[in-house]
Amino acid sequence: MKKFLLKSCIFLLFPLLALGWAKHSYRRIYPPEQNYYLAALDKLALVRTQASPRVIFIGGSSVAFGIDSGLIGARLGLHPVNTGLHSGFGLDFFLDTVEPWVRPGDVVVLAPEYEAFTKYFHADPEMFAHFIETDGSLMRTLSWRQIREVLDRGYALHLKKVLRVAIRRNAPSLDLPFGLYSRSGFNANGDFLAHHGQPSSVVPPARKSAWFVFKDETRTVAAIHYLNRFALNCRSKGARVFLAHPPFFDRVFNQSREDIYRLDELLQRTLDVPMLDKPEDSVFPLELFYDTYYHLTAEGKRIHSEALASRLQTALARLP
Amino acid sequence: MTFTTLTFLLFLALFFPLYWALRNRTAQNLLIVAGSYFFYGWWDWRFCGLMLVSSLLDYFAGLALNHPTAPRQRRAILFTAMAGNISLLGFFKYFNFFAESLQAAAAGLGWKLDLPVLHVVLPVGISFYTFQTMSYTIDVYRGKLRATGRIVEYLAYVSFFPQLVAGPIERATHLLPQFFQARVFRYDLAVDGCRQMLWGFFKKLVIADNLAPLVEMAFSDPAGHRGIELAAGTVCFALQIYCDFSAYSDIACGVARLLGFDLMRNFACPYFSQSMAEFWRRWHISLTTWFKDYVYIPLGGGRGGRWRHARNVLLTFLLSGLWHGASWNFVLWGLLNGLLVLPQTFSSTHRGGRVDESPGGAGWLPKPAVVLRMLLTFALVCVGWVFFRAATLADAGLILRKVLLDHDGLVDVYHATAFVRQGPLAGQSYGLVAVLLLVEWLGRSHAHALAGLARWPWPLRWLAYLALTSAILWWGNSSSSPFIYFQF
Repeated sequence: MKKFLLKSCIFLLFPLLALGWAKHSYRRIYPPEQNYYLAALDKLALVRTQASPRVIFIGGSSVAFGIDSGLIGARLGLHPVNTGLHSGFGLDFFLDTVEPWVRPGDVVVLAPEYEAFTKYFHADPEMFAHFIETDGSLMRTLSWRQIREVLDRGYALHLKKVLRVAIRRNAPSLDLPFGLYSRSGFNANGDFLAHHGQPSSVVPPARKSAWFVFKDETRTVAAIHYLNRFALNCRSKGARVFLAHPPFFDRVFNQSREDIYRLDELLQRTLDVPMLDKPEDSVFPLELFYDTYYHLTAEGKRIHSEALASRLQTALARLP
Repeated sequence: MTFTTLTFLLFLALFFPLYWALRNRTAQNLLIVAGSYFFYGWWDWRFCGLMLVSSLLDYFAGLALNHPTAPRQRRAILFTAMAGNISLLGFFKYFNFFAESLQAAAAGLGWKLDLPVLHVVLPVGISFYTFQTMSYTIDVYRGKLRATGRIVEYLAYVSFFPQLVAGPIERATHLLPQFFQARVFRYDLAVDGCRQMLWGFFKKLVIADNLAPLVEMAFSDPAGHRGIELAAGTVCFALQIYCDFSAYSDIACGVARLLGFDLMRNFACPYFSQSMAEFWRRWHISLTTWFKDYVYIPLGGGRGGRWRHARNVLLTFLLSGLWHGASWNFVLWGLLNGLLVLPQTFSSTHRGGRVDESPGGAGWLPKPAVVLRMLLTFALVCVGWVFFRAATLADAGLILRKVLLDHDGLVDVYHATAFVRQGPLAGQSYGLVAVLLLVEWLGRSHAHALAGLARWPWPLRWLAYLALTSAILWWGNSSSSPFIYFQF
């Protein structure tokens, strides 16, 4: 037995050393202290500490990039909180973490990307693995199901990414926090500002097929059920909840129009949350996007936020 | 819990030393029961209750059969236990299928039947452990085995975590006695178990999971693909399902060996078979022999003339198809395989190799005639896989029609390679599949592909281990898609 254990340990040393080296290289390429995902901590702190009544925005990175919560808050006379960060966190993560802190008079605006109703309602476990590894205390914010997902898949996916980045020394996609994507890029309200003044780098898609595909309703129905429960709990606390459509590049929107409308029809039928707009109300030309079809530039953010503030004012005025 | 997750590796890393630290056999068995229920409950703790009910049903049936009773009473006990097991399977797995089929048949006759639809989750591995407990009761009834009164050992036999979810479906006569024997740690067995696990991880993570997106692409949209792309997708599925399922068996056998147990061999290089009959002797051996012993032979086997023989073969394959899933695709898949096996079961000349024989002969290279027979058998197996994998019978028909009729000459070669390059491994797929075939071919005379490494000098051996580990780390698809056979 001793011989077996000894040899097993020696053997395991090789992959562990390789992963250790990869991790070291990875941390040099992406310093953990400036990790974009760590902004989740600041946003959760803001949810806890910001005085009520507030306007709280929940969604993915399109909310971080595309909403000027200060502008909207000033128009409505509410304290702003922008929890938008990354769709990979899963919409349920922010619903779960925000809900206990919702107070009477708060206005909650859900503005997730379309994929949040399909593949990103629950988190990408790799992102949580990355998240926990950067700051272990974040484990406390996760549910048991999320921790299990991290153990089952998240860490393996994360280690594979670390290995690939260390060997190839490149950033495979935007799911890695780099460049402008930094914790310090947010203002005190949780709005992302670091891209203001930067040239747009987004190009039209080469493919002609639908960008957003809505095939399987099962996940969406489960997501709507979850959202309805969230809205009910918020309302029981004296808060109001609305849904807004995400900003989207017009050509990509047209390519996915049928799928988006089918999703929207299902939402209208089954979601017990008033909608502030129609999908086509949040469609913008390419020059108003920064680096993806969801991330608005500073000018796009201003136009979108002005429109959203007006719709919110109208919707709130209609309520008893 | 799935073998290819970090959770399982952590679980095993804790379980293994704790298990061997316990000197008492009963304590080891208790730990196996606790560990196995934890392993199974990781998916959904409610599944554990169902497994316990299924286990206890056959435990008490076995005890009742131990007492000397009249044959009629013994038959009644056996019937009750079988009815209980089949009802469990029927409720969770087949109710909706039969209800929908009945509704469709009634609608065809102009009648309107309103049968309820059940919204229940199919418990993982239910077909595997139900068949295992059924074989226990049948063997006790037949007098092949005396029922055990030791509930811990019995529960450990049913729930033994390495093979709980996707087999091999162990017979009580083989596995149960091992829980009563004192276990001594054997270095050579443990190392061999690790080798088998390593090969299993390679097959699942590097080959099967990386071929899966290509298979999904072809089978989810057969109308949108050319015949050659669908053919390539089918070959990819043949490789995927073999690497997926045999990997599970390899890891199961490896883990069991680490704990001092011996599980039966479930795969013996089936794609090197030279006939369909040989293929079925080498593929999912534990299920094939289960159906042979508990269905085919009780039906009369090869006795009673050709028609009766043919009926028994077809019925056995049909049931085997239905075991795989509640859909007409699986029924047809079973029937098709029965029809393909039938000519060889009647033939007295070439009956193909035995499981313990080296497939394709003992030489380094097979003879051209052998290669031809292997390729023909593989092609027939692939026809069956189309029914197995296609979403509907209409899709299966479309795929087969396009594969046979939709050709574009030499341009097809370009389309086929372009299709494979769309997978996560792109062009590297060819090299990795070549490694798979080479290692399987070289290791075909052993109990598993890497067993022969034991005779290599240690530096080369370690180099091979490290190369496989590196391949898993680099090419392994870490999204950990569940094993295909979990759904059965």
